[in-house]
Amino acid sequence: MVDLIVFLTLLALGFGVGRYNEARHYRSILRREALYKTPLVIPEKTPPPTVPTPKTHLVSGSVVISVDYFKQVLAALRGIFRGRITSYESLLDRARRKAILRMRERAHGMGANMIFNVKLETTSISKGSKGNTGSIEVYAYGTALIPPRDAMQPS
Amino acid sequence: MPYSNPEIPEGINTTDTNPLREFAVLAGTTLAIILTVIAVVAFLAERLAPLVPLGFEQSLTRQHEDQLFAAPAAGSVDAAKTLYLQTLADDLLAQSQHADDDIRVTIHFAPAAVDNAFAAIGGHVIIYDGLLRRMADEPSLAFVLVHEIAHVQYRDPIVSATRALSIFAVLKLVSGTLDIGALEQALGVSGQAALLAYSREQESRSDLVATEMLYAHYGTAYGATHLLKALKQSTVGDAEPATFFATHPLHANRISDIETYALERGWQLVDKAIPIPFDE
Repeated sequence: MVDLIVFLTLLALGFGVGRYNEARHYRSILRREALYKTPLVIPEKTPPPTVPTPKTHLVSGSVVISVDYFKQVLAALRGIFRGRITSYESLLDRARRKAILRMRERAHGMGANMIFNVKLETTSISKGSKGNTGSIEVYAYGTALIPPRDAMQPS
Repeated sequence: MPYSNPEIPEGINTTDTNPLREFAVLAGTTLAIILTVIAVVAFLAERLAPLVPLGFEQSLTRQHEDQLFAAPAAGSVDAAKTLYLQTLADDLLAQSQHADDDIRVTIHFAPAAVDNAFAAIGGHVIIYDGLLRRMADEPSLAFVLVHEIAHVQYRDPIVSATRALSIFAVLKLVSGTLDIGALEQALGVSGQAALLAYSREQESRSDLVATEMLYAHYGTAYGATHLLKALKQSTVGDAEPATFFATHPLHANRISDIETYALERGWQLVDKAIPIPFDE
């Protein structure tokens, strides 16, 4: 009986608090994405040749986000019947966007106007019970181009 | 080549679903499947377990009887109590229409201050000193004895054990194979709740069989209701577990069922207080 009450309490807490935190996080992401329109993030490996050659620097951003208990249970249930695990979709979306934002902030601080060869790495940081995903880390990295004083401007 | 980062519309990488609705559908379906499997497994256990001969059950326990049931020292008070209980049980069984020559019940007295008695595999019934001391008279004690004997006669111990092992094997297979770590507790609770429902069914049946055996021996079913009323009285102020999570039906329900059963057959619930020789 106690186990059931604990389970239901965690489920309710996870749902309520999880939704509130997710909404708050999305608001923060949208606000900062509007703030950091530059530097541009480009997945191409090689930037076009420019004269004079810009300085380059490795920039990165990483974030670790955990999933709430309700979403873990929902994902476990979905695992029985197969199909899209929608409860993890927003987790990954937020993590990727936040990691890219942090990378952009770092490059912006260096005076970069573009980040090329952007890659994302996703890792499961901690497992919940029985190997269910507890939290993930997304690591975004790329090469920041820091133009000299009279450099090309992005169009 | 001009580069740009266009604004991506929201909702591309996420699915707009109602998580509560999704949870309700998935959890409801899972629970329905589990309960169906439990019902099938329990049904099979109930039908197949009694086919195991009682002789085989008894042979299983006979080899380990010395370790399982400590025999009282010859000439001790415990030995006298054991003999008294065994004699009473044999007398009750002999007069009962449920008597079955193939079923031999062995009574064991456990000198521990525990308020309990139970029937085990192999036709063994264990009564604790704590419960014996709470018996006001012999008919109340007789009710406890015949209640447990009824469990043995209906092969409840082996049915319960087989049912429990089967259900938990199924639940373990479901949770272990599919790595449903977060649900393991809830699955365990649902399995326990199902087992408790079947347990209450067995207890109700044993109550009614015990009432019959009491009436056959004493000419009254007084001992049954007298004991249960005393137990009900002693739990006033302490909450009985909710029916859903109780191994036995509520005392009030048991008393009501026995009284109804007795009255339907015209049996009196006349006071017949016979003292227990070891009333201390």
